[in-house]
Amino acid sequence: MNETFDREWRIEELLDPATLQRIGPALTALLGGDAAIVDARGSVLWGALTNDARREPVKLELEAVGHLASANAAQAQLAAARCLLEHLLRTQIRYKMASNLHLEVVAADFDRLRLEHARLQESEARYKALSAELEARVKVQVAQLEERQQMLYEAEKLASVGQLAAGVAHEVNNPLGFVRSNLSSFQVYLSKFAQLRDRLAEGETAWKALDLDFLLEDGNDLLAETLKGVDRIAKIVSELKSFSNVDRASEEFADLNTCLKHAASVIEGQLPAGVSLRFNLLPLPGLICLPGHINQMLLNLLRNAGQAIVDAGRSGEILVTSEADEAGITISIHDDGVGMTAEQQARAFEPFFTTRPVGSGAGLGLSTARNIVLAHSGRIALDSRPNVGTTVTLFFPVPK
Amino acid sequence: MSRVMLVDDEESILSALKRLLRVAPCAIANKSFTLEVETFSSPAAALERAHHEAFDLFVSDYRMPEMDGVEFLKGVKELQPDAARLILSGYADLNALVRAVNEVGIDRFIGKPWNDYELMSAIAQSLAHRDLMLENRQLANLVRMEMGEKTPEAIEAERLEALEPGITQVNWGRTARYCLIPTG
Repeated sequence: MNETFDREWRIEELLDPATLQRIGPALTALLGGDAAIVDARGSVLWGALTNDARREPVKLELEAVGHLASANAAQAQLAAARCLLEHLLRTQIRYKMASNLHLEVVAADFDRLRLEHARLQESEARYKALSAELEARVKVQVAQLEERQQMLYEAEKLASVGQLAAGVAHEVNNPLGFVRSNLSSFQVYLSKFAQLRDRLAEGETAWKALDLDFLLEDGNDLLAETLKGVDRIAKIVSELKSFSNVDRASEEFADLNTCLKHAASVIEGQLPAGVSLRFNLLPLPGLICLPGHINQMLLNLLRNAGQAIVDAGRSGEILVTSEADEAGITISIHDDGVGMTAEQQARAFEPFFTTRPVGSGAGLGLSTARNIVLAHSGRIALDSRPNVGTTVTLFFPVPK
Repeated sequence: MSRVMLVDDEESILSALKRLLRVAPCAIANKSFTLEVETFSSPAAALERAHHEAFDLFVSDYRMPEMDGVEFLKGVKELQPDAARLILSGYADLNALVRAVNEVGIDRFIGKPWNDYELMSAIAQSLAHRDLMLENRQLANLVRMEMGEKTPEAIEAERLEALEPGITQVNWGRTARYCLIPTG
């Protein structure tokens, strides 16, 4: 900026044609009708230069930048006119300097703005690219997440199938084990009786020798136990069937309040001492459902609630409520028993998960209940706090 | 007479096994065993019994309330290290099997439902193996005594220890008197 600001000015730069048009005639008049302005190289800017004209150097910053020439004017006149011209030129310089400075500042500002603008544009483009990339990455990750979730779901499904299989195997293998062993023992017993046929002649001695009194008595026990074992296997299979909804019974129009009362009447006799049952039932619309399954589920839930109170080692109450709105029917079964820890709650619906000691609970209650509710397009929710109690809430939508 | 203890939380299994062990012959090669069977449906009670009575073979279920089969057999192994051990379980869990083999050194893991013949031959094999092991040890002791590596006293102490685990150790009570009942 400084090179242009503080430079030497030439006269022709300071006197543009418009200025010359204005001061030229005035000078001419001042100097008696004859005047010429000449620049440093000798070319005439204004007026006509005659050979005999007196020249007066016009100085700026101690240097001659041109001449003022006149043939008619007196020396003093010419000097005065030069003085005026010099003064004019200096004013012009100041004006030019100021205007140049201003121009330069504006130009610099403009440049800076342009640079800024370019930079902004560049960064905007960069941001655009970044956001596009980000969006793509988010999309990829969402897809990955969905895939993982699906895989997890499949894995969980497989795991619970495996658990189901292992559980079934264990529950079935025990009775199967003794049933089979008993039957082959019974074969041995029978063969002893067969031996008796060959030794009938010996009479009572043979009977005693073959220990048939024991065989008869134990044979009866053996068959009774075997029958019990077979019944147990049958029960497990039937529970599994209702668990998986294999043999779907016909659907009926039923009142869930009736179902609740029915389940309660079944369980009331089995309720341990100190456990009471209270109802708070509101009229419900009819529901198309499988009453057999619903009854079994309610039975399971009531039994669980009773057991939870027994486990807490205090007397308590099971509160059963039902209500309906236009969306559907809500049934809740609340107990003030032991409750569940967060970890137990998380696994509560897993098939064969149980908190009971081995042998006293199959762990099919809640998982069966959930399957039954889902089969009726309903929802089941579990709310439990350790040592406070558990509330199981069932919701069945009513079709419009 | 070989003493066998059966432990299973299910009474029906116990009575089925009792019948089997009563009627089926327990023999291997030219050896046959007569069995005296005791059954327990509670592993804790069974372990208590093992404190007082020596058995040749323990057969236990794996999944039981109170304690599982591996824990029970571990306790038994401490009390009677020379007894044979067998697990009979319907719970075919690999972890359980690994624990049983590594922690207890069981002779067999038999699944439920079992095959009567296989179970009987497993029992016979375990008993025969145990006899062989004890005989082997006795012979080795004789040889060592002859070679002067072991004194007859040490061998007698070992025999007594095998008969009555803990008899060669003195349990000092808190008041510096010895007590007969193991505090362990």
